[in-house]
Amino acid sequence: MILTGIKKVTCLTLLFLLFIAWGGPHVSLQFSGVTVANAEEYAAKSEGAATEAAPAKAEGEKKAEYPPAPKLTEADYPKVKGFNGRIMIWLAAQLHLWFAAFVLAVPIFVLILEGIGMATKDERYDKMAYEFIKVSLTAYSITAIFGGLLVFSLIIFYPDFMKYMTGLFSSTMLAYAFLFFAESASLYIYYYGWHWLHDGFRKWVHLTIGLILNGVGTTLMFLANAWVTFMMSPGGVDPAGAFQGDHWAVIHNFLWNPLNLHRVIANIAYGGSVIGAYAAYKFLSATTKEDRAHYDWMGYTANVIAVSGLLPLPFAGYWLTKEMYAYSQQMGITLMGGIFAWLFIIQAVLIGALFLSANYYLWCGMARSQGAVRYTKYIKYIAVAIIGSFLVWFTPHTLVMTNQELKALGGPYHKYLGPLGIMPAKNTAVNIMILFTYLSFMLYRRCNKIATVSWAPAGNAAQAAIYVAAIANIVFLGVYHGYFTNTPFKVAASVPQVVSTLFVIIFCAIIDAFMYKGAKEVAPLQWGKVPDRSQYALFMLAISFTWLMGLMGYIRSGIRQHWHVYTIMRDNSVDAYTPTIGYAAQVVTLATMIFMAIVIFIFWLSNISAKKAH
Amino acid sequence: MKSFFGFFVVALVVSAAFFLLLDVGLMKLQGLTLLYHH
Repeated sequence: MILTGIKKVTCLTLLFLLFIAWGGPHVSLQFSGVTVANAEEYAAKSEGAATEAAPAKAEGEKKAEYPPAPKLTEADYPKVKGFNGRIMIWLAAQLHLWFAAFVLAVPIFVLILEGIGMATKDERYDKMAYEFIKVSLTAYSITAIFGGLLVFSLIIFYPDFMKYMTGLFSSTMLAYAFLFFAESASLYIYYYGWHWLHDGFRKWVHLTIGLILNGVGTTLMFLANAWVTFMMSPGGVDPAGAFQGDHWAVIHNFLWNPLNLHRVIANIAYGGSVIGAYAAYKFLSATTKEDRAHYDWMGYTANVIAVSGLLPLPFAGYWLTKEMYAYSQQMGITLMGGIFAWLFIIQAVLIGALFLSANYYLWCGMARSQGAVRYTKYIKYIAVAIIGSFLVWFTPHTLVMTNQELKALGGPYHKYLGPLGIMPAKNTAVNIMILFTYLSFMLYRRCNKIATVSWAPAGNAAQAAIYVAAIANIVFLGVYHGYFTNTPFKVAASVPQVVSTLFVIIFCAIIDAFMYKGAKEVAPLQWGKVPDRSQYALFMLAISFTWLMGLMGYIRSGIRQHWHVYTIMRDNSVDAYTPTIGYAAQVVTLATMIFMAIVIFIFWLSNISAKKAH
Repeated sequence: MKSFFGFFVVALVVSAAFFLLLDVGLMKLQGLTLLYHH
C-alpha cells in the first residue's frame, strides 16, 4: 500500500518534470507573440528605431519581427518618493542571491551525507543531514520573499529594461516559474518525508527525490544565470539588441558556463560556511556534553564541505575572469586594471582570511585527538607558508599616492613589492596557500591514526617528495614565465600551476586512502573537546564568505558600467554611474548585516522549534 | 629514517621528471614551448 503511494509520488514527480520539459516549445512559441505585440511600442520608444528597422526589414521579414533594444531617457525611469531604485534592487538582489546560494547548496551536501549515512549505516550522518535541511527550509521561504521583492522592484524602477529582458527571456522565465513548483514540491517531500521514507527501498526513493531536488535547483540557477550573463555578454541579438531568432544563443551566451561553474562551486563553499556558523552557534550555546560533541562534529563536517568548495574556487574564478577578458578586453581591464581593481585587494584580504580561518579551525581541532602531539610541531611552518603566501596574494601592484610619495618611491611601483602585484605572483601564492591548507587537512586526518601498512615510510616519502617537487614547479612557472617571458606565456603557465596543485591533492588523497586503510586509532576522538575560540573561526568563515560574495557580486554587475546590457542597452537613469569604492563597500556591508540578522533569526527559530513546553 | 630519505630522493627525482613532462605537455597544448623563444 505504502509502496504504491511512493510509486505514485515518484511517477507524479516524473510526470510533472516531463510536463515542464514538454512545455518548453509551447512557451517558446508564445515568445514571438509577446515580442511582436510589443514591437511597435519599442519602436516608438527607440530614438533611431525607424532608421534601424529599415535595413533589418530589407534583410528579411523574420528579423524585422524583433525590435532593437529601447533607447531610454531619464524620464523612462519611474521615481518613488523616499526610495532609490538602484539601492533597493542592489539590496534585494544581493540578499536573494545569498539565500538562494545557501538553499541550493545545502541539498547538494545533504544528499551526499544521506548517501554516506546509507552506505556506512551510520545514523549520525542521516541525523546531521536532516538537521542541515531543516535549517535551509526557513531560508527557502526567505529566498522566495527576496526574489519577489527583486522582481517587483525591477518592474517598478526599470520597467522598460524589464520589458526588453522579458521579451528575450519569456520562455526561460516561465520555465523558471514552473520549475519553482517542482523545486518546492521536491523540497517539501524530501524534508517532510524524511522519516516516512527512511528504511529499505523507501530510502532509495528518498535519495531519488533529493537528486530531483538538486537537478531542479541547479537548473533554476542556470536559468537565472543566463539572464545576468546576457546583461554582461549578450548573445543571440544583433548590435542593436534585436533578437536573431535563436533562443539557445541568448541563453548560452559567452559567460554563461563560466558563471555556472563558478556559482555551483561557490554555493557549496558558502552553504558549508553558513551551516558551520549554525553549528558554532549551537556548540557555544550547548549545555550538555552530548550536544557539544554533536555540534562540534557538525561544525567540522561543515568546515570540510566549505574548504572542499574553497580549494577549487580560485580556479573557477580564474576561468570566469579569463573569459571576461576574452569576451571584451575593455571589460577585463575595467575589472582588474581600473577602479574595480581596488576591490580585488579587499577580496584578496578576505580570501586570505578565509584560508587562515579554515586552517586555524583545523589546527584547533587537533585538540580532539591525543595523537595530535606528533604533528602540532609542523603547524608553525604551515602558518609561515600560508601567511607568506597571503602577503604576496594581497600586495597591490600600485598604490594611491601623493606626488611627494611618488617622488620618494621613484615611480608608481615599489622596487621590491611592485613585482609581487602582478598575476603570476598571485597565482603562485594561491597555489601554495591551497597546498598548505590541504597539508593542514592531511595532518588533521592522520593525527588520531597510526598507519599499519609496511610501506608507510615509503608512502610518506612519496607524499613529501611530490609536495616539494610541485611547489618547486609552481614557483619555477610563476617566476620564470611571470618575469622573463611575455603575456601569452604568463597566462599559459597558470594552467600547469593549477594542474600541479590538483595532482598533489589527488595523488596524496589516494596514497592516504591506502596507507590508512585498517589503521589503528590512537584513542577515540573526543568530539566537543575543542576550545571555544575555534568556533569563532567558523563565524569568521561565514561572514568573510558573505561579505566577499557581496563585494565580488557588485564588481560583476558594476563592470557593465553605464549599460543595462553591455554595449546594447544603455542605462540612462540618474544612477548610471559607478559609485565610489567606499560607498559600494558600505552598501554591501549593510546588506551583509541584514543577511546576518536574518540568519541569526533563522538559527533562533530552529532553537525554539526544538524546545518543548514545560 | 634511512629508508625514508632513500625513498624521498627517488620519489623527488620521479616527481620532478613528471612535473617537467606535465609542463611541456600543457604548454604545448596551448601552442607554446616550455622555454621562451624571442
